[in-house]
Amino acid sequence: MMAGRAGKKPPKLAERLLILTLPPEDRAAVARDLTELYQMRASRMGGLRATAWYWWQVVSFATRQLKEGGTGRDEQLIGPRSDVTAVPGGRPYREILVNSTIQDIRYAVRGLARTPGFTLVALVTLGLGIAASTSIFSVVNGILLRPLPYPDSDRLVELFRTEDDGQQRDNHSGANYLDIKRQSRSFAGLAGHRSLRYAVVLDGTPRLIRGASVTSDFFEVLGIRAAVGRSLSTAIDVPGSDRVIVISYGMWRSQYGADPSILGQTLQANEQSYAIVGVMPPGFAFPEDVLFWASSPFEVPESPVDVGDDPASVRDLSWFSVVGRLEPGATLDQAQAEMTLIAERIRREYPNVDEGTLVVPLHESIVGDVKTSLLVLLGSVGFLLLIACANVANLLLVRASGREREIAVRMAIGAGRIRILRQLVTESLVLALMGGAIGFSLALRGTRALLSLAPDGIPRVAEVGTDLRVLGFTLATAAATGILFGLAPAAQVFYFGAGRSAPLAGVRQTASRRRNRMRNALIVGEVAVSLLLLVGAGLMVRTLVTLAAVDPGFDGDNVLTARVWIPAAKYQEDDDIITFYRETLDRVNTIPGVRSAGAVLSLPVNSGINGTFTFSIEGRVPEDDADSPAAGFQVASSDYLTTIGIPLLRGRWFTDADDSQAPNVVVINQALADRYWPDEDPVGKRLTWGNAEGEDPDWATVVGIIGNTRHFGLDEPPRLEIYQPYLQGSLPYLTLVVKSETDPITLTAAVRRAVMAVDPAQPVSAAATMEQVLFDSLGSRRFNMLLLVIFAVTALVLAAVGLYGVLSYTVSQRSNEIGIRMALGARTGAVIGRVMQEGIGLTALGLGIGVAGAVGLTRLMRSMIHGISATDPASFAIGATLLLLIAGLASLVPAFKASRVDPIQVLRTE
Amino acid sequence: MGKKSLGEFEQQVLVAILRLGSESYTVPIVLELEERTERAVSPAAVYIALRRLEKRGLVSSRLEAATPEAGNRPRRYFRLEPEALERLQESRRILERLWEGVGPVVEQG
Repeated sequence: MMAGRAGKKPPKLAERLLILTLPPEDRAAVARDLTELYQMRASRMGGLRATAWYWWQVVSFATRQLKEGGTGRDEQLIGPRSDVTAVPGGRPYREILVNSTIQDIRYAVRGLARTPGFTLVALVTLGLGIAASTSIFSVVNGILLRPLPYPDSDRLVELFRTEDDGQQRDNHSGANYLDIKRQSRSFAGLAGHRSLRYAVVLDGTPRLIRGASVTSDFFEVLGIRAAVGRSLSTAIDVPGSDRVIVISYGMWRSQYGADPSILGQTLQANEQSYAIVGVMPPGFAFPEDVLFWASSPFEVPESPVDVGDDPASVRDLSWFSVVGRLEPGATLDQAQAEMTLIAERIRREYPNVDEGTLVVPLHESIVGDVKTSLLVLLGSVGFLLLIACANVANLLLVRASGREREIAVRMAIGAGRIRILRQLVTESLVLALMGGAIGFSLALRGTRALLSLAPDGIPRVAEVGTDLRVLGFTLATAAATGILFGLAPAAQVFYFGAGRSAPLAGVRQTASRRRNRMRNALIVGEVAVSLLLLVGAGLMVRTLVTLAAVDPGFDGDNVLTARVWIPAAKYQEDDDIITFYRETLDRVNTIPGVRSAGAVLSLPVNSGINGTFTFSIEGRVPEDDADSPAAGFQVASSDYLTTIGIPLLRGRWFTDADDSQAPNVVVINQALADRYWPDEDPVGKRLTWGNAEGEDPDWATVVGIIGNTRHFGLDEPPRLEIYQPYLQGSLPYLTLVVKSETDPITLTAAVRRAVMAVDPAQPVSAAATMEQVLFDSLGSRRFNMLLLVIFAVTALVLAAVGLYGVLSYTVSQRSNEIGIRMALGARTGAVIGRVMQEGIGLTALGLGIGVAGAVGLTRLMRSMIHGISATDPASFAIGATLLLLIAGLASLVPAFKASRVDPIQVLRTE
Repeated sequence: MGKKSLGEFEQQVLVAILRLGSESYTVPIVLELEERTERAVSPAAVYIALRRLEKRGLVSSRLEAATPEAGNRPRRYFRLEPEALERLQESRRILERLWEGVGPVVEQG
C-alpha cells in the first residue's frame, strides 16, 4: 500500500471505538490527529507500546467525554479523589453518577494493577474463553446468521426432485425442469445450474478447473449484476447464440491481473470457445467453488455425461440443480403446494414417472449439513466460557475475602451497600471488558486458524469474517460474563452487610462459611459442565475410532490416484476415449517404481461421479417401474482390481481381452449379488442397463463377484455396483489408480508426464494418495472432534485449576484447625485424606449433575456420531474417570500442604 | 457570574497556540506542551480544553480541506480570538505583580 512507509495504521477496532465517542463534526479531525501522534510514537518506541498508548487514549477520550457531558469546569478534569457519595451542595445527579462511575473505573483499574498475579490469571482465562467463543461465533455468524449476499435473499429457494419417498434430494432432468418452469406461477424466476470440470489452458499449462454451466436467467434470479461488463441475459444469451462466459472476481484478478480490457477475449474450455462478457463482483460464489459461469447452449444446463442432442427433452436422467425466486407475495408453502399439483399432472401424463419437487429455502439448502455441528460447537464453547467464568468468580471470591477489612471500613465511614456493590460490579466489568478486548484481538487470529483447519466442503467459508455483529457478540459476552462472575463477590457484600460496621470474628466466620459454600457450588458446576464437554469429545473420538475400524473394502497402501477427465467435445467416439486411456495406462505402467496401474470411474469413499441407473435381469420382469433393480454404474480397467486391492470373491475379473469385439461382460459386487441373487449363483446370468426392450437387448454376462467397498464414505453402507470393462465403453471421466513400490506421491510428476505424452493439452487433477482420500473422507468429523477435544481439554485444565485453587485456599484458611488437630494426635494420612475427600466429594457431586445433563444434551449430537449411541457408556465412563483422576491430582497438592502444617507454629500463634 | 477565570491547563493551551501561530492543531499543541512542561499531555485533555475554549469564544477553528493521502480526513486548526489575548495578558500581569519584589527563590533546607 501507499501508506506503508508513511506509517503504521492504529488498531482499527480502537479507532472505530474512538470515533463512536466523539461528536460527528470532530470525528475525522481527531482520528487524524491521533493517528499522527500514534505514528510518531510507533517510530519512537515500537508498535506494541504505541498500540497500548492508542488504546489508552481511546479510554481517556471516552471517560473525559462522558464527564464533559454535564459540566464545563476545568477542575472536572482531575475530579475528586475521595470515595464518598455524599451529595455536596446540589450538584446535578447525572454529574454525580458519571463522576462516581469514572471513580469506580479508576479505582478498579488501580486495584487490578495492585494485584498483577490475580489480574493476569483472570485476564488470560477470560481472554481465552472469549476468544474461543468469538472465533466460533464469527464462523456461525458468517455461515448461519448472515443472510445470503443476494437482494431479498429470503425469497430465494432451491428446488429438489424427489422420488416416491420424498426424502432423497435429487437433481433435475431437463424435461421435468421445463415442465415445472412452464407450469408454475409461484416463482418470479427459475434457473438451472450445474458445476462441471472444464479443461482449460491457463498460463500455458492445461488445467482442470471448476465452472458452472448455467441457464441465461441464472443471474437474474439471484439478482446479482456483474462488476465489470455484463452477466448473462435472457434477452441476448438465448439457446443457440454464441457461447459466452462470466468469470469470478478471483479468477479475473489471478489469471488476468484485473485487466479491464478482458471483455471480448475468448477462453477455450472443454474444446469450446467462450467469449468473456463480464466479471462478477468479489465474494459472489454460487454454486460454491466455481471460477466462472458459462452459458448453456440449451434451455437447461449442460451435463457431464452425454445426454443426447436435446437435453431439454430428457426425462430419465437428472443432472442439474434449480434455484428459484419466489414471486412477491408467494410463500414457501404455496410454492410447495403448487409443486405437488404439478407433480400429479406430470404423473398422469407419464405414468412411469413417480417424482415430486421439494422447495427448500436456499439458505437452508446451502448450510443445512453443517448447521448441527456448528450449533453444537457454539454450545460447547459457551460451556467453556461458563467454566472460565466460574474460575474467575472463584478468584474474585478469594480476593474479596482479602478485602473484607477494606470494605468494612468503607461501609463504616458511610458508603452505602449499593455504592459498594456498584463498585464491585464495575470492577468485574472492567476486568471482563479488558478480557473481551484481549479475546477479540485473539479471535481475529483464532478465526483464521479455525478456517485453515476446517475441512473442504463447508459452505460460505469465504463469507466468514469479523463484522459489527461479532464485535457486538464479544461485547455482550464480555459484559454478561463480567456480571456473571461479578455476582459471586457482589452477593457477598449483601451477606456481609449484615455485619455492617462490625467486622467481628463471629460475623466473619459465618460470612466465610457462606463464601465457602458458594465456592464449592462453583466447583461442582464446573465439574458438571466439564463432564458435558468431555462426554461430547468422547463421543466424537469414539465415532472416529469406530469409523477407522470399518473395513473400507480395499487396500489403499502405496496407491496414488489422479483424475484424468478428458473433454467430451474432443473425445467424441467411444474408440477415442478407449484409445486415450489405453495409451495412458500403458505409459504409466512403464514408469519405474510402478507396480500396476488401473483406471476407474469412481473411487471408493469419495464418490466423485455418482450415477445410479436401473437395469434389467434376463428372465425377470419387474412388477412396475419403481420396482426395477438399480445399481451404481462403474467402469474399470483390467488392472484396477489388483491395484486397489479389492478381493475377487467368485468367477473372474476383466482381462484386456474383454474389449469391444468380445461379448459384453460385467462384474458385480457382493451387495448386489446378495440383493438380487440371494439364493443363486449370479455368475453366468445376464443383465442390461435400462429396460430390456426391443428384439435384441444389449445383454452383458456376469462373470464375477468382487468385495464391497464403502462408496459414499465409511459411515454409509456399501452401495450396489455393476462394473463394466472400459474397453467395452467408457465415460471420459476416469481416475487413474497407481500402485507403487515406494511412497506413491513421488510418482505424481511422472504420471503427469505420461498423460501429457498422450495428449499435451490434457490436465491431471486431484492427485492424492488413496490414504489421503480415505483421510479426507472423514474431514468434517475430524474437525468437529478436534475442536471438541480442545474444548474438553481446556475445560479439564480449568476445572482442575479451579479445584486446586479452592482447596488450597480452604487449607490455608483452615491451617489453624488442622494444626490443632495434628497437635491432638491426628495423623498425616488422616489430614491428607480429609482434604482429598473434600475434593473428590465435590467432583463426584459435579459428575452426578453432569451425567444427568449430558444424557439430555448429547442427544442433540446424534447426527454427528456414528456406530455408537448418544449415551455411549464408554464415553461417559471415560469422561467421568478422567475428571476424577484430574480432580484427585488437583487435590493432592493442597492435601500435602495441609499435612505440612506445623502444629507448634499454629499453637504459638493461637 | 461574569467572566470565568482561566484554568491553568487552559492557559497553557492558549500560550501554546500563541507560540505555534498558524500551525496550531492538536498534534503540535500536544508536543509543544509536552516539551515545555516536561510532562505527558493527554490529547484528550487538549481536545476537551480546546472545545471548551471555543465554546467560550476564546479560540476559533477552521477545518483544512481533506486530502486523499490522509485518508480524506481534515485537520482542525485553531486561532486565538482577541479576547483570549487580553485574558492572557491580564493573567500574566497579575502574576508578575504577585511576583514583584519576591527575590530569587531560595531552595529550602
